[in-house]
Amino acid sequence: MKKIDAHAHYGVWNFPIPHCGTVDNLLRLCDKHDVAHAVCSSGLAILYDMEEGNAEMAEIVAEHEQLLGYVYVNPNFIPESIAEMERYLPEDGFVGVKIYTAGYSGVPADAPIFEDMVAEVARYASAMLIHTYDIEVGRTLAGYAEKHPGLNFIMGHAAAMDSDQAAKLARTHPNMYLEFCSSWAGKGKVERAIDICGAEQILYGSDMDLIDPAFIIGMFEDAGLTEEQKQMIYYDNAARLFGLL
Amino acid sequence: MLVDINTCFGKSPKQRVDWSPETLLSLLEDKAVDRALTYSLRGVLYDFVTGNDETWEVCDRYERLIPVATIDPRRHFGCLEEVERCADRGFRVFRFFPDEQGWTINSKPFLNLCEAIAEHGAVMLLPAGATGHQTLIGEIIAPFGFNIVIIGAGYGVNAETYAVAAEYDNVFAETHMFDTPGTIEGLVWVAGPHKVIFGSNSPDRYFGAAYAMVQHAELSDEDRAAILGGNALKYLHLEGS
Repeated sequence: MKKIDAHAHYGVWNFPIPHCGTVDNLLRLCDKHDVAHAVCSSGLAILYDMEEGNAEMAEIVAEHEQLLGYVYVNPNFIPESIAEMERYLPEDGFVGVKIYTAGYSGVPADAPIFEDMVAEVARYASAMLIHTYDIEVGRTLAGYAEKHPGLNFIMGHAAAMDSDQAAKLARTHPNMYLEFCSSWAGKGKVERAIDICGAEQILYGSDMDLIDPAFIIGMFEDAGLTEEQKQMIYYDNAARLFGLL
Repeated sequence: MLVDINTCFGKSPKQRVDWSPETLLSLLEDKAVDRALTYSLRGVLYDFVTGNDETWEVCDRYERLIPVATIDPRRHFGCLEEVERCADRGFRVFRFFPDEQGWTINSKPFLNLCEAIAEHGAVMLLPAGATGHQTLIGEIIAPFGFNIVIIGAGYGVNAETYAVAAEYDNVFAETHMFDTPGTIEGLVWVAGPHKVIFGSNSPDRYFGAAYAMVQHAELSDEDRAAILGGNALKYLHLEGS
């Protein structure tokens, strides 16, 4: 079944991953797993240099229709992030914004500058991917989701082991989505999320080429989904969200 | 032959789960798993003596299951005796849970257990743990001579898995946390196809996630078959069990 991967990266990871950080590897994984589009953010932008990474991403999405881009924004550099959104979001290949909480930027989700950054993103974009490693971040995002109903919040990793609670947030916030890529393949989490918030707010994402799509697809394929649910999760929900219909 | 070396059954004090032996068996049946190593969570979380009894009884009842014993070395009294009791009973594999129980693999009580286990030629399953832990397994535990399978190495410590599995003939690696592209192929290149052994961590995790990684790995049919079963039979000494 054709897929849209809502969580991919272009860039090097310092782990033993052969061919990691190459366009060829991303395209190979897309073809292997029937991924029509992978929405990528730049590892270089996240880990080191926002502007250089977004520029690199722009070149790649311009050359490869299969790869789409998130503009990476950094709450430490709000004016510069606004300039990045103004520069890249009008381009065809970019479909949303990516932001990190605490870890890489050092800014927690409930920090005032993070909130200011989200407000700016809401002015420019309709979809934003945020890593959520636990429900605390999810709860903060729910507050932002209420303030900015026009911005769709994709909870990357679906709050990991707190995914049931993340699904409850999605149930009451139509602009919050769950994206389940994770090394923690906790059995039953997808089925429970569907029970709680329905399949309409769940997106397929892999975290490739850090995580192999096979691992995440294996999880979904094991979850006893109906064909209709798979179609929504693998493709339709993301197509709607990213304006790809 | 499909062998899953990482399954369990029992209860959790943190969540309501249906992890009965029958649920596990149903899952294994559904996934066409021929044999599965398993242990009772009672032995990990509460009392290893009654836990090992429960494991033995369940595996005695269901041919598909192969028993794994566990001992918590913090107890001291009865630990060495439990090695003897389990070995006499027929357990061939021992698994330890230092992270859950709060002890380290370089602690003397555990090393004493290793010495006792070595006398029985059993196999040991140990967690990958945090960075440095697998190196300790290689440097401190491997010299005991029994085969060791490292369980649950994720991408953050896979370089260590590669290094340790390549250096020590008796150290192998289980797959359920191998989720990066090429992890399995990489380990096969570096350490050999015989060093990779399939495990799913069912029923806690989705079987399909771990299984898909092996199925989609770019391997020869022979190597894939070894990883999915042949290696477990050979290196965990399960033939005839």
